[in-house]
Amino acid sequence: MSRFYARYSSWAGLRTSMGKRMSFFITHGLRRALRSKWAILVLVITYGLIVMPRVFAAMNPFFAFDPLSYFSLYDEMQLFIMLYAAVIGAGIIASDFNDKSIVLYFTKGFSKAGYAFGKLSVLFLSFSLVTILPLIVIFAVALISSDLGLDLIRDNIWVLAAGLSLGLLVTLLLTTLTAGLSSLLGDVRYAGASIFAIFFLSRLVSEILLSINGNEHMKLISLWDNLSAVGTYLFRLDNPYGFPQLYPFLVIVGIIALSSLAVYYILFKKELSL
Amino acid sequence: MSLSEGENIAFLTSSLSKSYGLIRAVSGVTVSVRKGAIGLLGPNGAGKSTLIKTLLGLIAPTEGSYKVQGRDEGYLDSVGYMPEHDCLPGGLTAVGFVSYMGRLSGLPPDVSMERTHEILDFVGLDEARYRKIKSFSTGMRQKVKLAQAMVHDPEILFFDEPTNGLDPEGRKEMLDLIRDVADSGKTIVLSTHLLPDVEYVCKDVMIMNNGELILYDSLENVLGTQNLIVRVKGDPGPFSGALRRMGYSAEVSGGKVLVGGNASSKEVFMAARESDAQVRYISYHSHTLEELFLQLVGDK
Repeated sequence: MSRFYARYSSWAGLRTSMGKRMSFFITHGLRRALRSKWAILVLVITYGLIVMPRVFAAMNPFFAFDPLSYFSLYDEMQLFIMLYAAVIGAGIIASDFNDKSIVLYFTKGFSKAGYAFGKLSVLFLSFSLVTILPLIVIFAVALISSDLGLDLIRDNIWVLAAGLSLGLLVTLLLTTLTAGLSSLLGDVRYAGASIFAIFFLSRLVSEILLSINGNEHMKLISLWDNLSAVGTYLFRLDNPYGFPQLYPFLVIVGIIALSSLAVYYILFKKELSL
Repeated sequence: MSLSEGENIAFLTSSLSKSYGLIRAVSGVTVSVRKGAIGLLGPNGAGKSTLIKTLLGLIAPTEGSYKVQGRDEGYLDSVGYMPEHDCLPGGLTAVGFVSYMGRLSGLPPDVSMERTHEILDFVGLDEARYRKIKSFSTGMRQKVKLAQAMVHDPEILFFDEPTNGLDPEGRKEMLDLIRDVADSGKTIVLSTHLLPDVEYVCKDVMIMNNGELILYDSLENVLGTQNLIVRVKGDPGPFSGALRRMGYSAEVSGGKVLVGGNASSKEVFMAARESDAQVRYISYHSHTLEELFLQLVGDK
């Protein structure tokens, strides 16, 4: 019995370049990540509860360019940033391992390096929405609300640079850490839980050890304290920690390097024999 | 069968091997495979999937080299792959997933969507194409896997156990689809351990066992070789010995002698005269793929 379905036809057109495919890969990934109801919820709460009050505060010249105000923004947002990282980042690579679709990318002409670049870009851009964009919005509102004089911009542009540097560091850390955990664990739920747990547990352990032996260096165990310590340096604030701010910076760089190594190992060294 | 590299070659390998520790999943495979419908047969663990994954660049060979479509890299746009395992993201619709794969394969946006609908029509997914894949049955999922492999109009399609988990009706439908693809002029490589699937779809056959390629020939040649079944009065030993001396294979089984090598009845009677045997029964017997497979795989 012959089939009655449509026939299979050929197509002889020109294929799109790898650059265009990559850009589609990234925008498609970004759209999917941001369409998640949990991601939308965390974004709405973060912007509603923390960013918007800061935007209104930035209209007040007294707070407009206050470094402490910009620095404390990250501290206030840390819970939401972690939640957002767990919600958005966990599935970025793990879901491709979960449903085993990762093999298909490599049979569609994508190299492993291209795949890793695309996924890391999706993570970086998604995280930027809570780590870099709020700062730019607040600074822009502060500028618009002021007299927009060149002197004012020249005197305060370092606050923006400091904020962007800290935002960039937080984004890089979250991007590599979530990608690393996502590829190592290969399971969306475990990856999400572990991202959240790493931030909380590291802080808990550091607090417990600090209370036991009183050694300030124990704070180097806490990921968020490390970021805060680097932040105090960037925003030219007094160092409340009992160690040079270079140490936490090195810890963060080390975690970024280790996480990148995990992604490299899983994607490049481990055979994808699914 | 040895063929040199040319336009008619779908892929070729030279001493291709892949080892996992002491286990050789693919062992020194050297072959030039013609375009067309090729069945890749072998028991589980024969190295079929490893060979396909190596040709797709998913696995790096331990030794040897290969070319697909005459190229050793940059050929993936002209290759489609339907994996054995499930590979579909449950959260996407069939249309969304197949058009996404089309875009990643280099189709422009409008072409990708147009071809997605065309291919989903072809595989027979009607309104279900707008449903999320996680709600699909095994047969529907297989169709989506087939659609994603074909959407970008590849020249060669690798199907790894495409009828796995399908009921008889679904299996027939899937094989019909694959045969239609082959009839449209595409090269298909159908990897399976089901012999009837190969007989139904393919023109050529490759048989692998323990990582080695033990046969590559056209089905016509393989099944066209005629044997004779001869029964003689008394002991068939001297008679089979006479046939062997004449250059034919002669296998004694259950009092009958299976004579290979396209021997004619004339030669059989010559051998009988030489060995003083009396022929009681003679008939022609064609190989079935199953017999050949069991003979080759059993020998190894």
